[in-house]
Parts: sequence; structure tokens; C-alpha cells
Amino acid sequence: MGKTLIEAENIGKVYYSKGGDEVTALVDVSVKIYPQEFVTIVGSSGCGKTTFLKIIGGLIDKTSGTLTFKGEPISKPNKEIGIVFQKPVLLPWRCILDNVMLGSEIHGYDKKKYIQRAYDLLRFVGLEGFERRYPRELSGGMQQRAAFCRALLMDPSVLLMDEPFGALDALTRDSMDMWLSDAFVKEKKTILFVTHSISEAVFLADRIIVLSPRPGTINEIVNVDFPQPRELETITNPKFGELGVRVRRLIGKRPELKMV
Amino acid sequence: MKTKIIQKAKDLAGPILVVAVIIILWEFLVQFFSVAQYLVPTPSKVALIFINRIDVLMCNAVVTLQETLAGFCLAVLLGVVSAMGITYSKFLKRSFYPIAVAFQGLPKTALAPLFIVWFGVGMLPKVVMALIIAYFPVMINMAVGIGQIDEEMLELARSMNATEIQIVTKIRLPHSMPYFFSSLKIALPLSIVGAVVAEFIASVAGLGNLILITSNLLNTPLLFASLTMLMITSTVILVFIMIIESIVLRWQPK
Repeated sequence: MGKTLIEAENIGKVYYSKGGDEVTALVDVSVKIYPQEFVTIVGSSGCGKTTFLKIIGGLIDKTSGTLTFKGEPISKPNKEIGIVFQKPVLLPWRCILDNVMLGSEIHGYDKKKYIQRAYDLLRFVGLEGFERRYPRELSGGMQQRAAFCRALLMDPSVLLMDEPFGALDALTRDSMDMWLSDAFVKEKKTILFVTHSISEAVFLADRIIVLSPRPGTINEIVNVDFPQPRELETITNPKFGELGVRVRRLIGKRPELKMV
Repeated sequence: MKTKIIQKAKDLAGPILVVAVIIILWEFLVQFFSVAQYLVPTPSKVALIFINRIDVLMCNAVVTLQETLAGFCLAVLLGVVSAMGITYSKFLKRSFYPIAVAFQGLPKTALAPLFIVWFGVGMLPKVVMALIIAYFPVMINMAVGIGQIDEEMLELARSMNATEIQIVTKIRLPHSMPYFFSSLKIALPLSIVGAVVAEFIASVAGLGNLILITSNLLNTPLLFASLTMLMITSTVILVFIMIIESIVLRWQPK
């Protein structure tokens, strides 16, 4: 496992509504993420999965706790951490290539240096020949793969993925999962992947973080030791089903009340 | 390629045919009923006058065009700048925007006599009129185009540590382009209305001036020629805007 890459300690998040009401989204979330690990985060709707991911991405401030990336505290987005959102969020006025190149433009890097990488990434995800097409000309799965390339352009060591395939149909989603598992092994990234599909969580993960219903806290971290990349046959493994059932039970569990 | 050209020709054939039928019918009816020239001139007479007096028409068209374009460009500039202000300043959004919207309810052409009092009979009152009438559609459209961006797009930009200026240049402005061009297409004919109405009130030149004089003299053929010139001027600029639009917005579905 080696060195810790991301360390979260007692992360808490409270949202304040306009009326002054408090909503506690996360309580005492502590976890260590190691390099080149695939970690999925599951939990019921509104349990704070996305909030946790966005805190790691530096998009939301935490209310309490400490969070470090390579030993440095995270307070704003870092180009070493790429993000793939729920929706592809491609800019409709840019062709696919220019969408992928967005990060290098914003960081003010030399375009020439990254354009070859952009082409390579698009080929890698099977979008060769679509570089000059506009997003609306691509299917949902293809758009999400383009968004994946955009997140990978600056060669981040960590990828945060927030239910990236949630909007796709079941068949496309299955093939995207297999594709991602393959890409994970080839690109040697650390991936944090939020989903509310248990089978997807088990299929992809080295470890599954199971969050409790709101306020979210870690119920358990489940290890999955099938070899990566995952194959279609992984699903037929009896242990796959057992893990699924176990995760399912853990999701519903409320954390025991702490007696003070 | 060939089928495309044939298709274009087919698309154009309809309107051309309708216009041709109307002109022929008009010519025929006016001659048949011997309608007086000062009431309705024949299209052939209008065409003849248009060619013979092209120098007068052009001179005056240039004046109106200058007034219109000056007012229009200023309106676009101010419209974009104030839309940006509304987007970035809560104070402006709360104070300026409601006043602007309320002011929009006032028929702007009613201000033309006042502008003549303030700015004289030269070009200035026409420019101001063209500006003020074209400003609102630009401002209101751009306030939406620049201001109402999907939260996800802004989050994407933030996730890349984009500066506020980059958010404007890479997201807000490109996002506003469809709104921008539709506002131009609304604003341009309006600024022509503004310039011509101001010319009606008091002027020494311009197509509005020519229309007013020819009407006083019952020189209806030249009046019709002036109206034709006005229409051509407006159409040429609109087509120009639409060509640029089709280039800039080529990413949009047809």
C-alpha cells in the first residue's frame, strides 16, 4: 500500500440554510486513501457522498476536521486532482478537442504541449475521429468519456468521479464500468468513485466506503480483492454476490448512538 | 452539393414567386383603375424614380445609416456592459435593473421631441433615439446570456481554478452568444425606427427627412422609393448580422 495519498480526519460538514437552519451532512468521516487505489463510496441518497467528494476536490469547504493531500492541507481545487461530474458538462460551443483542452488553457500552459496528449487520450477512450465534433453530436456515454479525458489532461494523480455513469442506460453503464476498470489499470491513477449502485461499487472497487444515511458517517470500509482490471466474469463469482448483500445491509445501518 | 443548390433554389422560388405576383397585380390594378400617381404609384414608376434619383436616395440613406449604426453600436456596448454589471453586482441588480425594466414600459419614440429640444436638429438626437430604443433588448437578453449559467459549468471552471476573468471569457461570453445575436436582430430594426422617427420630428437630412418632404409635396413615387431604400438598408445590415451569426454559432443545431 505504501504512503498515504489523501488523509481525511474527522471531516464534518454542516450546511446553513437561509432561514438559519442547520443541516448536518457529514459527521466524523476519517479515511486514508493510498496511491493507485480504486475506492468507491456508496450510501443512500442525501447521505453526503457528493459533499465528501467535493470537499476532497476543494470545491466545498469542510466545517470541521483535517484533510491533506500528500501531506498538504486541501483548501482549493488542485490540478493534481481531476474531477468527473455527474453530467459531462461539456461546453456546447467547443468541439470535443477544445473541451478536453480547457484545463491547459485555464492553467495558462502551452497549448502545443498538451494537444498531443489530448489526441492520445481521445484515442484511448475510443473517440478518435470525433475531435472536431460538437458535444451535441455525441451520445451520453461518449460525452462522459470526453469529460473523462478532460479530467485526465493535466495528468492528475487522483480522479474524483461523482456518479459519472448515473445518467446512462444500464447497458451502456455496464460497458463503461468495464472500460473504466481497464482505464484505471492502464492509467495508474487513484480513483474515488461515488455511486449509489451497489453492484457498480463492488465491481469497480478495491475498497468500498459505506456511508450511513444522513448525517453521513462511515459505517464500514469493505475490502474487495478480485484482481484488477475487472472482467465480466467477476460478476459470476459467488463472492461478488455476497459482498453486494453485505454492502446492502451496511448501507441501511444507522450508526449506534454514542453515549456520552 | 448539387442537390443542396437545387434545394436552395427551391426554397427561394416560393417567396420570389409571391413577390412577383404581388408586383404584377399591383402594376395591373393601378393602371386598370387609373389610380392617381400621388396616391399609389405603379411599381414601374417607383423603380424608375429609384434609379433616376439614386444619388438623393443614397445621400440620405448614408445619413440615416450613420445615425442608426452609431446608436446601435453604442446600445450594444452599453447593453453588454450593464448586463455584466447586473451579473456581478447585487446592488446594481437590485437598484438599476428594476428601474430599467420599468423604464422599458415607456414608449421611447415619445421622447423624440424632447431629444430635439435637448440635442438640436443634427445627428445627435437621432443617435440618442436609436441608442435608447435598441438598448433594452440587448441589456435584457445579455443579462440572461451572461448571468444565467448552469451551476455545473461554473463548478467545472472552479474545479480548474479558473480566475473570474477566465470565467467571463471562456464561459459567460461564449454562453451568451445566442442571446447576443438574437438581441442584435431585435435591436437593429428598432434603432432604425428610432433614427427615422427622430428625423420626422426635426431634421435636415436622412431617409426620414426625405419621406416627410416627399409626403408634404405629394411626391408619392419618390416617397415609395425612399421606403424601398430604407427597407434595403435594413435588410442588408440584418443579412450581414445573420451571416456572422451563422459562423459564430455553427455549434448550434440548425
